[in-house]
Amino acid sequence: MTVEALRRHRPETLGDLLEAYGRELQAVAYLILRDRTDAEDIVVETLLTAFERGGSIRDERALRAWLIRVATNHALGQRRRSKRVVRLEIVPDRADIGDLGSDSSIKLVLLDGIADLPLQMRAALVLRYYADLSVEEIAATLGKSPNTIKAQLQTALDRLRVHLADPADSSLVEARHA
Amino acid sequence: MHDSRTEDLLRRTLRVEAENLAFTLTTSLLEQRLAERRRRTRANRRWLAAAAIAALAFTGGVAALTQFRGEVPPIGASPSPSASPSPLPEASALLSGYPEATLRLEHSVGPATGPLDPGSSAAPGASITPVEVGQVKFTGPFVIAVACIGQGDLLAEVRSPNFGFVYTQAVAPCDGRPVFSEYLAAPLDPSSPGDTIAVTVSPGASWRLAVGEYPASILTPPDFPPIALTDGWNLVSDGGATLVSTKTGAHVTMPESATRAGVLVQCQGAGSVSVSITGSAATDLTCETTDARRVEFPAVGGQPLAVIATVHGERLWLRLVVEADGDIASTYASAPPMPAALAAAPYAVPDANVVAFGTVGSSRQRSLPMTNARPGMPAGDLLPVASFDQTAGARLDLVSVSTGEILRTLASAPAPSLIFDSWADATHQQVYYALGTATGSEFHRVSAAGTGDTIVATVDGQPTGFTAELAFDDSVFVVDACFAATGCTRTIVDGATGVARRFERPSEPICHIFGIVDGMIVGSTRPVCRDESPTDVIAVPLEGGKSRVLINDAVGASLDGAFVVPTSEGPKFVVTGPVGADAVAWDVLDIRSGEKALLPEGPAGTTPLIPAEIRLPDGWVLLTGGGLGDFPWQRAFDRATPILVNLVSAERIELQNLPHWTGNYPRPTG
Repeated sequence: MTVEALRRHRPETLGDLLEAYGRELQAVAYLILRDRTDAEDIVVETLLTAFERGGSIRDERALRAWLIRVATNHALGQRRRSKRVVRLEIVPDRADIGDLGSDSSIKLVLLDGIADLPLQMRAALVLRYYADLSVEEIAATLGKSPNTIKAQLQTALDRLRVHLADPADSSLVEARHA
Repeated sequence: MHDSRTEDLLRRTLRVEAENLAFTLTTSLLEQRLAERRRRTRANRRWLAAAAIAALAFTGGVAALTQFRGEVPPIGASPSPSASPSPLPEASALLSGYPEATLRLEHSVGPATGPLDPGSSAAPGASITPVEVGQVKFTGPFVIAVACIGQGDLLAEVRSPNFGFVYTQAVAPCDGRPVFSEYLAAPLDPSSPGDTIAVTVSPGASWRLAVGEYPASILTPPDFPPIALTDGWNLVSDGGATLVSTKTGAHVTMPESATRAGVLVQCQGAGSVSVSITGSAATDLTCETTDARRVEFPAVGGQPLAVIATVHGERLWLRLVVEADGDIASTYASAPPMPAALAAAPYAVPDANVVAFGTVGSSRQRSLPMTNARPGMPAGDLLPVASFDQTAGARLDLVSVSTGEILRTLASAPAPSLIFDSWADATHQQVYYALGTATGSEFHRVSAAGTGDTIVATVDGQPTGFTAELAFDDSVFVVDACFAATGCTRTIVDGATGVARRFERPSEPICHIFGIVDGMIVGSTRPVCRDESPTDVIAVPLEGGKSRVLINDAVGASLDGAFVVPTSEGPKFVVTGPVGADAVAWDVLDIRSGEKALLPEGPAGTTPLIPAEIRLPDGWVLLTGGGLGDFPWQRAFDRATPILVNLVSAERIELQNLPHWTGNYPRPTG
C-alpha cells in the first residue's frame, strides 16, 4: 500500500509512512543515539527522504529495510557531525548488588552496558535485537561485511554479559557465600 | 547467564525502551518540514545556478558545473567555507593547548593554506575512503586533534584491532578550525598491539592530525569533601566523581511529595560548569573550590527531571548530587483483603543510596537515605541495616518498619571490619549479625534494645565454606564452617536463651543455607564453595547425621534465588526450572517426598515473575516482576503486579498495593 502510494507520490503518503514506520524508526534512532530530540529529527528526515526518493522501491519488505538503513545512517551521521562525542550519562541507573536478582534491575544494568558500547556496535545491536534485521541486512545497512557484523554482535554480547556480571562482584557477595 | 537468555533479555529491554518512548510526531509537522525543505532546495538551486553562471563566466571551470549534481549534499558534509580559512598549523602544534598530552602520532597532508588545486577538491559523491595513518599503543587516556581545509568533513577514527570496531572519533568541518576529541578512560584493550588511527576526508583536502596521550594519573578522582544535604531534604541521586570534558547529567524521577530539587555540585579543574534542568536557565559555576555549591530548581512530584551539567573550557572532575524537599516514599492502591499475618510481613530492598522497605499489606513504601547499606532479613517491626564507610567503619542500625525511624545503632566496628549480613528474630526480639574482620568472621547476637551483644560463633582462617542462617521459626541460629585440614564445625544458637553449642561433623561444606525448617538444614554443597563446580542441594539433620541429596549436580547459577517454604504439607524447595523465551518456570520440590511440581504461574507477560526472598507465613510465596524497590531513579517501570501464591491451596492474591508498573511513564526530554 505504502510502496504504491510512494510511486504515485500521493499526498497521503507522508501520513501513511509516519503511521506505518514512524515509531519503529524513532525507536531505532533513539536506541542508537539515546536522544529523543535527535531521534525525532531523524524520523522526519528519513520519511521526507523516502517521500522524495523512495519511488523506486518495489516491495514493502524492501521499503522497511531501506527506511531503517536511511535512519541508521542519519543517526550515525548525526553523531559524526557533532564536534565532540557528547554522551548524556544516566548516572544513577546502576542496580545495587542486593537487587540484582530482579529483572528490571538487570535491564537497567543492561541499558547502561548498551550505552557504553561504541556507536557502530550499538547500531548493529539495535538493528539485530530491536529491528530484527538479519546479519546480511545489517551488513548492508552499515556498509560492513557480514563477518564483521557477526563479530561485532558477538563482542557486544560478550561485553554485555561481562557488564551484567560485574556490578554484583563485590566483597559483600563473596563474604555472604564464602 | 545462558546465551539465549541474554539475547532474550536484550530484545525485551530494547522493546520496553522503545515502547516507553513518547511519540509526538504528526503528519502536519512532516508536511510543514517538507514545505520548508522545498523552499530551501529552491533557494539553493537558485544560488547554485548563480554561482555556476558566475564560475563559468569568470573561470570557465568545469568543477563548478559538478555542483549541480549535488542538490542534496552527502550525509555529514558541511558547506565549504565562504571566507578564506586560516592556514593549518603544524600537526604537533595542534596540541599546544593540551600540555599534559605527550605527542604519540602526527600526520600532515597538503599545504597549510589548503588544496593546491581547488578544482581537484571533492565533488559531492566522489569516492572517499579511509586512510590508515598509524598505530598507537595507548596506556592512558588520550586526545585527538584534527584540522582540515577542503570539502566536507574530516573524520578521524580510533579502531581496536582485537575488538574490530571504532571506539572513539573526532570530526572536523574542513574550514581550517581545529577540533579536539578526548577519550577519558583507561585503554579499551590493554592487550592491543596498537590501535589503528584512520582518517576519512574528501580527496584534495589539506589536513593535520595529532594524537597526544595523557598520563594515566589524570583518571584518579579527587577527594571531594563530604556533601551535607539540606536539613529536611532527602537524597535522590549521587553520581560520584566523573571526569567530564563536555556534558553529563542525571535523569531522576522526583519523589511524589517533592516541589523543589536541589543540585549540589562539586568540581575540580580549570574550567567552569553550567548546571540546568530541562527548560531552565543555566547557572554557571567556577571550579576554584571543591566545596559543594547548590542550585535549586522547581520540581513536580512524581515527574522526571533531567539535570544537565555542561563543561566549559578544560575537562574537569564533577560530582552531581540531587536532593528533594519531599520524603522518598511512594504510594500505591489499597491492599486487597488478606490474612493479617501476610499483610504484616515486612520486606526491605537496598539501592546504592537508599534502603526501601514496607510490608506486604501496605500501600506506601518508605525509603531511608543510607549509602551502600545492606538490609538484613526483617521480621515483625524490626529491620536491621548494615552500612559501611571507609572513615567511620561498619555500623548496624535497627529501623522500625512501621515508622521508618532508625531506633538505635546496635553495633559498630572500625574499618576495615564489615557487617555483611544480619537477621531479625521477632519472636525473641533479638538481632544476629555477621562481622567480617581482618582475621575472620564473628557472628553476634544482640537484643533489639541494643543490649547484651555477644559473640556466638567465630570462623577464622581459610574455610572451604561457611554460612549462617536463622530458622524459620526463630528457634535456632546456625553457623556452619568447614576447613580442608580439620573438617567441619556447626554452631547452634538457641533462639530463646542465646546459648551456643558447637560440635564437629564430617567434612561436607554447606555453601549456602536455603532454609532451616523441621529440624533440617536445606543447603547447597560442593567440595570447595569458592569454586564454580556442580553443586548438590542437600537436606541434613540440624544436629548432624547423614545428608540426603535433593538435587544432584546442579549448575550453581540455577540455584540463584532458590529458597525454602514451610507449608502445612511439609517444607518445599522452590528452584528455577526451565528457562523459556519470556518466562522463568519455577519447580516446587517436596523436601520430604522428593516429588516435583511447577509453581502455579500467572498470566503470560513480558516480565517473568520471580519469587521474592522474603519470609511469609507458611505456604505463601510472593512473586514479583522486577523486585520491590521503588527508587527515585529507578521507578517501578515494566514490572508486573506482584502476586501472592499459596503452594498448598493455589490461592492467588494480586497485590496492586506493592510497586509495579505496566504502562509507560513520562520520560525526561533534553
